[in-house]
Amino acid sequence: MNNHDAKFLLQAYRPGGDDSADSQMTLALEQARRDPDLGLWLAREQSFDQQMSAKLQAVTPPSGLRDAILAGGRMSAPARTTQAWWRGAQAQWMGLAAAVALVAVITLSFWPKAKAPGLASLAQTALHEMQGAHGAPTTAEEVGVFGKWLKNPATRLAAGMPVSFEQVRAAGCRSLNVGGREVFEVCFLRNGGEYHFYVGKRQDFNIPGNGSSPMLVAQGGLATLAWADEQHVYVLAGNGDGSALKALL
Amino acid sequence: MAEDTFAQLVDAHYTALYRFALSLARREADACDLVQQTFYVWATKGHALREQAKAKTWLFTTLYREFLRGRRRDQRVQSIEDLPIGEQDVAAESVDQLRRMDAQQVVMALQEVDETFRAPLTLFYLEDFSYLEIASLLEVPVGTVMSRLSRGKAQLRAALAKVASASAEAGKDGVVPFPNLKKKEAGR
Repeated sequence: MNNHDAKFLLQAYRPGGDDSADSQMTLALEQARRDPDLGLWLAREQSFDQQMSAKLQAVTPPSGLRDAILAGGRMSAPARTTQAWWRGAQAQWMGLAAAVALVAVITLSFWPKAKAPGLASLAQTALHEMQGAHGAPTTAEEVGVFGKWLKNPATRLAAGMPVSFEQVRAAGCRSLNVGGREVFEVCFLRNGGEYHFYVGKRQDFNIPGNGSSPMLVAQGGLATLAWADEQHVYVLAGNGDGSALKALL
Repeated sequence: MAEDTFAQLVDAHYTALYRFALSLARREADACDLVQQTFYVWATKGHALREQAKAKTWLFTTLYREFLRGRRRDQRVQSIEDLPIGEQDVAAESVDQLRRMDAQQVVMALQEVDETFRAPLTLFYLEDFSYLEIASLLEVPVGTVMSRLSRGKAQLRAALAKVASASAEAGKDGVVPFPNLKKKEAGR
């Protein structure tokens, strides 16, 4: 092995890693110990690599990424269950028959008590609406006091609505169905941006804890913030990474 | 998979995945999308992985595939592979220069490296995988990983020198604007 070949191998060597177990690498390392020039080269190379690793380790993910990933994971939970059953079914037809029978029994037994959707489902609906499935929106101008509250630059949405859920319904807001639960939507403009506000009854949703910490989901240039208070669940949706949404809370 | 198990998996790997994604995608928003998409794929398919110990490799492989899926590979990759092995000697000044640079500048230089070399190079510097694992993850032979590391390092040194030079010309503070990270800092 000449020094050129040794350098080629040693460029991929990191001290303390699994790399040294390779027999060719061991030979190259031995050569570097014997040859002072190659040894000096290796010391510089490793110093460079250590600096690079340290700089890269200093890069931190943006705040909110973790929460967004976890929210995305929660949203995909129903899909996981369905897919797992199908995988098993492909392997064993008998398994399919048993699974279908079991699903039928479980469905019939528990249908009326179907699990309430969570904030993640509401956020997913909002994203879906924003991504193109949007029906004719109700604008803030059409819903009186509630609309004025949304448009007011001084309004902090996290403080809670000044009107009841029944008043929102009576105002004629667009209604959506989220897992069998009624949710109302109003679009409004604030600070030059367009936002979509969704509200449902807290009792209709499965909210662990008090739900007051807003959950951010950012996806494809759109973002949602979802939270709850004692009476209601809310989702605020808009363009961007969520920073504009946070400013409205 | 239970929610807390999923959260543990996210906590264990999302930072390293983000660093890898940032070097590939170049933009913070795209890197976030890639990481989110990777965990989404895990949530819908990855739970079927029988050996949970392989979850880390599975996540990095999936992220890389998702990145490639969003890009059209062209002839340029082949022409880059045909280039001779990179300059192997590290000048002492390169190490000092690197020591003086901040993480933003280093990431910017890394992002200048050709995509073919950038993936193995970033995985190498993340220190999460041996070069054998990198070969498996990128689905290329070990020799290819080594040659890509060699060429990638040569490109990286050139890019670092370029960034350092631009930084010196930029002004007294020596900071080269880096929109994604700069924006993040402003928000703190």
